[in-house]
Amino acid sequence: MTRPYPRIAVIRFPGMNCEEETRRAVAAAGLACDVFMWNGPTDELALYDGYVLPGGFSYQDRVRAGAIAAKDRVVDCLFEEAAAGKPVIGICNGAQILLEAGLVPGFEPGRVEMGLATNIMPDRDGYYTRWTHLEVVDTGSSATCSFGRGDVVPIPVAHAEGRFVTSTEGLLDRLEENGQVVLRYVGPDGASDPGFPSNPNGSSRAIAGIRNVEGNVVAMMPHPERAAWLFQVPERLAGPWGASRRSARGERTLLEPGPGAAVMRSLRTFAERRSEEA
Amino acid sequence: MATFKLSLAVALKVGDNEARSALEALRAKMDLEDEVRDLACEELWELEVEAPSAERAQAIVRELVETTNLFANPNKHRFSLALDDGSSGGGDLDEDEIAILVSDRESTESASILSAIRRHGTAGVVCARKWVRWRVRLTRAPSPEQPGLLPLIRRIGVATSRRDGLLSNPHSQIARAAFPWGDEKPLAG
Amino acid sequence: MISSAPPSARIVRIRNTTDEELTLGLAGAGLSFSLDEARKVAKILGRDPTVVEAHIFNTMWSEHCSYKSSRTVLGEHLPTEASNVVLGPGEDAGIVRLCEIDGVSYCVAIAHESHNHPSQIVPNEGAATGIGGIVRDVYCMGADVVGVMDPLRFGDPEGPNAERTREIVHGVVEGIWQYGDALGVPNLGGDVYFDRSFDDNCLVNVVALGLVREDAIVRSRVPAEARDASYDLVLVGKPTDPSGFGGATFASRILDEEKALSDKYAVQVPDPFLKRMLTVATQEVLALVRERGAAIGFKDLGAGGIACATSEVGAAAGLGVRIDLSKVPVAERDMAPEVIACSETQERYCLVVPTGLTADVLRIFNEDFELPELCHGARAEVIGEVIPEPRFVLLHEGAVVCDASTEEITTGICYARPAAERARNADAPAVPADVDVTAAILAVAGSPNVASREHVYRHYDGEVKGNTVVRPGEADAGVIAPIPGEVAGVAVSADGNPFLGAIDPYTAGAAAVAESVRNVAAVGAVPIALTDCLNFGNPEEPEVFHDFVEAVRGIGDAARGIGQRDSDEPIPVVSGNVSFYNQSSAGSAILPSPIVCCVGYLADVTKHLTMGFEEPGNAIYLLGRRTGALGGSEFARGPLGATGGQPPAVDFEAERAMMSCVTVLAEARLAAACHDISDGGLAIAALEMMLTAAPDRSIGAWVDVSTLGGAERSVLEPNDQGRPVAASVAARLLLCEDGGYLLEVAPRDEGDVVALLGMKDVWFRRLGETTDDPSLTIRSVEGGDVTIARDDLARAWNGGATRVML
Repeated sequence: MTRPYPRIAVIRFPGMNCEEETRRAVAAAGLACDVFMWNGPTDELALYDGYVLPGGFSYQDRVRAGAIAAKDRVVDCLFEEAAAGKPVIGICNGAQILLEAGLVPGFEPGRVEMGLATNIMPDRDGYYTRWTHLEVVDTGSSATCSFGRGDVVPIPVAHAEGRFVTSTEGLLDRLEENGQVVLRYVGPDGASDPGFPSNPNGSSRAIAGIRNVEGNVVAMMPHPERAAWLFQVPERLAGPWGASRRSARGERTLLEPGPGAAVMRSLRTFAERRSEEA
Repeated sequence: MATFKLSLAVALKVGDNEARSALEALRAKMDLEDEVRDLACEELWELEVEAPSAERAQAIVRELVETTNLFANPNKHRFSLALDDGSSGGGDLDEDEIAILVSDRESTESASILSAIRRHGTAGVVCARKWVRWRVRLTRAPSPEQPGLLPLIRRIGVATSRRDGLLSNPHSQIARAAFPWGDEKPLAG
Repeated sequence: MISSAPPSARIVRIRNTTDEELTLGLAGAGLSFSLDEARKVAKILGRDPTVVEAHIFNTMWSEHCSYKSSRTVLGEHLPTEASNVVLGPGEDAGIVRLCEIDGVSYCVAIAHESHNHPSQIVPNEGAATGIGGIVRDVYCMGADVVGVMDPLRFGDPEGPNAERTREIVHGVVEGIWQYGDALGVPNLGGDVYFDRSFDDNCLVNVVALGLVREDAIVRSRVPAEARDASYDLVLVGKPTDPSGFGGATFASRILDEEKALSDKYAVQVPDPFLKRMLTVATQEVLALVRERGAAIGFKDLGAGGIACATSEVGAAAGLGVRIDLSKVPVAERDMAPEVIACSETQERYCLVVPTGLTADVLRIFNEDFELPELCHGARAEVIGEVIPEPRFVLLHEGAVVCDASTEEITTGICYARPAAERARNADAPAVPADVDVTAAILAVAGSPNVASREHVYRHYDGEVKGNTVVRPGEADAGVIAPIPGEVAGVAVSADGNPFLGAIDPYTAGAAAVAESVRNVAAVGAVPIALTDCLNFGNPEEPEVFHDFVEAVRGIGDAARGIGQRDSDEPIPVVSGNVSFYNQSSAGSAILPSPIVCCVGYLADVTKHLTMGFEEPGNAIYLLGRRTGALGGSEFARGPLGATGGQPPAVDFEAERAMMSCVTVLAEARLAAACHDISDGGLAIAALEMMLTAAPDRSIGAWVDVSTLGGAERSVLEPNDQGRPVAASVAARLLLCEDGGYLLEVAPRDEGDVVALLGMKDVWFRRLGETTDDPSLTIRSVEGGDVTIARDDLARAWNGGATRVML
């Protein structure tokens, strides 16, 4: 008997706009996936094996990105399921919600321990879109367990509020010591580069994604669903993925998985591992 | 020459979707229906101006606001300008209102507005800081001795947990409260 | 039939008035139409109109809604039909067939508009509601919006109004990203020009592109089924408020900023959050409609609000509607009926649904998606019904406030405007003998009108929806693969050089078509449709009207002359918009600005091209003659300071042959990179190909100017090849803006490429080669090769526009 695919819910908070392509990218990794409404029945939501909070502008980022959605009732359900060890990945606006809800970094779950502040960029303000290069710093999370440690993976960012900050002294050190920094912005060659534009928003210690202590909850600003297929990679991107993209022009291989697909594969691996353990 | 502190409040003349959504979140999602009646939002610029007199300092800023759209667009904003006597956050509050003022800890906004002011050829403005000033209309008029007032304001104003606090994130922003009786209190940062 | 005035309504007295009385009466009622127009209303109705009726006519007869000055000209010159057209101009968006996959016909819906005056007054909200309005035009055809673009024209950022211009640039760009990014529609391109003529009147044009199955197209009309079945009119969206009351007439007169100030309702408040929720909820509604096999009508509310939208859906079907304005959800108490009927509140749609489906439609909007909870006062509400007799009836608090035949209400109006050619400066720009070629190229590259637009487009989300294959900045057109899992691709580009408009509006129109076609072809897409947005000054001025007529003639001639690749058919103009009265109250009109958008189709999107050089050691081919004509070029206006002369004429046959060749080369995978030649000429095209190569590839190029001889009317003879060319001639040939392409071709493919170019009778030269030396070298210049380092080129080109936008 074949094991059923893990079922993932992509949660549509009002104003999000990446749910459909996120669902496609999750499904392409061999997961069953539905878009689930924020006001849907939570007893049904609890039956899923994992959750993705996609990108977009929940409540149009009013007050602060993620602030209002973090107070939605559906987040209670996410807390319970996260506590049970199910994977929860927040992408961009989803990440902003997870931080505002205190699901990550989760030293004290439910407590707001960090913020995603407005970008700081030389000579510009507001929204910023760019392909970034990320170093996989930790492979113990639901979004990175299929990567190799130290892998350099290009994935685009698109946000106005993506700068990881905290006012709690020592928290960043603790994050790093625990391996809770999972993704870090680096230069195209993988070398450390905390400056703009490699670090596109001025994020503390060039952090692009963090996880909770257990590793099942991940908040990441880059959009893996926009790097899920090779055709989505820009031709002019530096590094091996750019070269693959250029050499695949005119070939069906252009429709094959891209660098971000491994995030969805990680989600699958994590969910399967968990159900095996259960 | 002396340095004068001015406060410039800029409010929308047209409907404010953001304030409506915040009010809805406070009342419906955070169960503050019995405490919070209404919410409005404006920008408050704290400016420092070098000028020979307070009148001149105000005139410099007034001219800047009226001849450029850097701070306000007359088609959608109204503004008021006052000398900052240290209680600018509370200034014009009604007796059933309190104000929660929020500002980013780090921002490039001040630098860019100062350089735009310089390009415009206006001298004298040496410092500019933007606050978002939320005017919270409470169901009961607050009083200085009221027990539980500050905790309530924190529950509205500073996001400390999943359930508490909306208007500022203490890690990225600083916040303070201002009261109709002229008093101010830091909330975060 | 002569209708009698509804008994209880307020009347605007028109009959039996003197001109003085009527002038006062119209002003008192806030009506802007002319005395003749007012009298015509009374004549059509056979009585004095009610206040509500007068406001409806006032809006419908505004230039913005009626095209009263332009309609005849458009009809005379623009080809709107071709075998791939499903729906030409007339409804909210034009629709053309894209491809057929597994028996399903997929179509592209496209709409193109301006939102100029609002963007000058409130740049952020004006630009945002521009995006908000254009996407509604596409959504209401049943399509999903898969891309937007925004051609922008701003004042001189270094002129006397520099600071105001910068504020407008910042506000407009912010409005576009705040709305478009939040709504979740990928921004696929656009363009930006700066000129002093736009100081008092910026241009914000918007294009929206949608994907729709042909069998799922929804029309903006009452369905024929309503003849035999009961149909409701459902209004959904934001509660109606007085905002934008009179917006159509605001767009139809010269902008007076002082006056706008006094109109507190001129500002329309955008709400992309509500729009996003309406969009996803509407998708559920349309899915339900298809499931039930029902026929519905769907129309966005734009200019003229409820009155225009509902009368038009009725008139289009020859049926009538009866609406109770008291049932319209409103944001303010005591709104006058004419305000409820005609206000242009954003984020609203009207649906015409069979009564049996109404409850489900209301449930989806109001309960499943909780519109009333999410957005203060927003909801779906039944406001009226379809009636069999072709009458347009509005009630308000039990009283009839409008009762006229739909035919009367939607009667058009038309003017024949006088046209007169303006005097032109015919002095051809002269290039001094001692011109510094390096300095000239760097100056052109660093002009805000030529330099990289990266500062702008990095604000825009070009990748939401996950279908984007080519982003702004990577090639001449944006490319998407909008049908997930399929290789069908769509390319779009919008173009229009206003400096050509200043010199020769016919050429400006033709060149806008040619450039947009080249841009689409340069990514390997075959052009299938055009749209246009025609931005001009006051059409009542004969010279302005002449500019307009000439530009339209140029667009029409080019659309026919270039034509579709695989047939004799024109590239059809399926949608468009005319924006007049773009001039300051001081009297000066904007440069004539016809802006054209071209949609292209890639049967196999994997074979698309981009413009960055791929490999050192490849050949660079030039397609398209260099005549050396400099009129309107950046070189002439900038370094040479010359505003006169003639621009290069658009050679339709040559453009057609080149478009055909380039797209065939792409399909045959014979080109490594391709870039169109337009602003800044071939020198800028070459440097852009260098600077957009992958940053870890250090690729340069050399080009030999002596190869450029032999063109008709060129300054070089064919036998000049290999002989050094005077610097002034080299600069002229490198920087003239004749249309063309640069192709990068691998050595192994050169034979095939040359054969194909020869077969199609394309004028071409082997211009140079890519190198691994990071510089651009121009060979065969008298006094020695000219070499410019990549870093110098990058500094000029990357910083040229950013510096004026900070």
